[in-house]
Amino acid sequence: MPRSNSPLPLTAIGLSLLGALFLYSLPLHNSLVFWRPPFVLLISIYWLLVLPQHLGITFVWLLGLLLDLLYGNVIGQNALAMSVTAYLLKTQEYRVRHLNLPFQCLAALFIVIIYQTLWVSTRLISEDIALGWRVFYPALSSALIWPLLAGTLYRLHHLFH
Amino acid sequence: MLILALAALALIALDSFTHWLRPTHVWLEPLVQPFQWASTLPMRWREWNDESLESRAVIIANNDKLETEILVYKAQLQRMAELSAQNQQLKSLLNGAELLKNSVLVTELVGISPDPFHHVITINRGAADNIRAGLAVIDGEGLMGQVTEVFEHHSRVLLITDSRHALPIYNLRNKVRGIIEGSGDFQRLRLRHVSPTQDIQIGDTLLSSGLGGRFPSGYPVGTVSAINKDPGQAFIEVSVTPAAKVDRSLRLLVVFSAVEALNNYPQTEPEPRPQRSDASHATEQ
Repeated sequence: MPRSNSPLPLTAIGLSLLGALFLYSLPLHNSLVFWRPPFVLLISIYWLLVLPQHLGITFVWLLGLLLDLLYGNVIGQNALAMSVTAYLLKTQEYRVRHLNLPFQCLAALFIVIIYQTLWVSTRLISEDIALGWRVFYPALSSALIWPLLAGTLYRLHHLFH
Repeated sequence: MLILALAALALIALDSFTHWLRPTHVWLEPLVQPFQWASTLPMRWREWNDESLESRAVIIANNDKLETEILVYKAQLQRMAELSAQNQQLKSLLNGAELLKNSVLVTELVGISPDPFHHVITINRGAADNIRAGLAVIDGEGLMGQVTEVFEHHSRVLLITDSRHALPIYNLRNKVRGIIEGSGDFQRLRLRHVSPTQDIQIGDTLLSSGLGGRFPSGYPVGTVSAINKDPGQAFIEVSVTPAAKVDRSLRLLVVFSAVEALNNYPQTEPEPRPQRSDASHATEQ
């Protein structure tokens, strides 16, 4: 993942966020609803790794808060889960950035497992959720979709450079 | 990092245990609308496709079928009028409460919650159409859910299959009462705390009993699909298939309770309201 020293590509970030929110609210068939990758988390960690001099954990926290506010969850759940995930990723930043694509996918798998664990734990405070392996399905789908997502975001970044 | 995490925890606590952050949901609602609208585009496109690209022969055949159906329903309705009059009379003889007419408002599904653990949909009627929290929502087949959050022009509906939902029902066959819960699965509801000696069979129809005072009584909720008797357990497990097409219906009806209906229509006439020409109202028993 190349580190970019350019000014903050606000258009690219905005467009990717709009796209992620659209994909997040797209209705899926009942058998697929548990497989939806956490698109907003994935795009936020992409930008976090590509633009470390501009964006920090606060950016991820704010996106999480936006997600909570927009979709009527308990406010702060996504903010907490996403920012803690981003923090853990930040501690391994220099290793993660030099991974090649297959290992990036593997990293995405672990990141989403951590995120899902945190997110479901925070939700268990206030509601009753039927737990099961399906909680981790998004990790698998995220790993599968990561090459496509990273490629799209890379192109988007350089289009609005 | 620590500050952010603590701030998030504080927000979670505030929002879970108080209602102070509720207004933010209402202010931000217009921001979500475009995404919700966009998310229903595939569904709308398919519907448009079905409507516009049908061949003439199919449309004529459909029209014929619908006309026949209307005729059959009208015939049944004639009997209904007589029966309801009789019912009313008998109830008045028994000094019972008079059966009032429920009024319904046609509404359309405009959004689905992306959260796989929540079965919540958005409908295109809100406070401007006299919708308030607690009203029941049905489709052509049975009970769908209840309105939980009301905004100006749309509202959120908690479906009966959501694992946070429960409602009082009775068995049509023998009038035994019970509480039915959502399971988080669109095809399955759970009947809780049924004793092993209770008379319940596969195929029994369960209707809303109206006991909680929230749902109107007599709407089909589901049919018993499986009964699992485990001798080691105090209760038997009963699975119920919802009557409503909970995950497929696009056109829904909001049921106003009798009192509400009386306020809306002083003459209890099935007339469309003058201020909204597209709001098709109908009264039903």
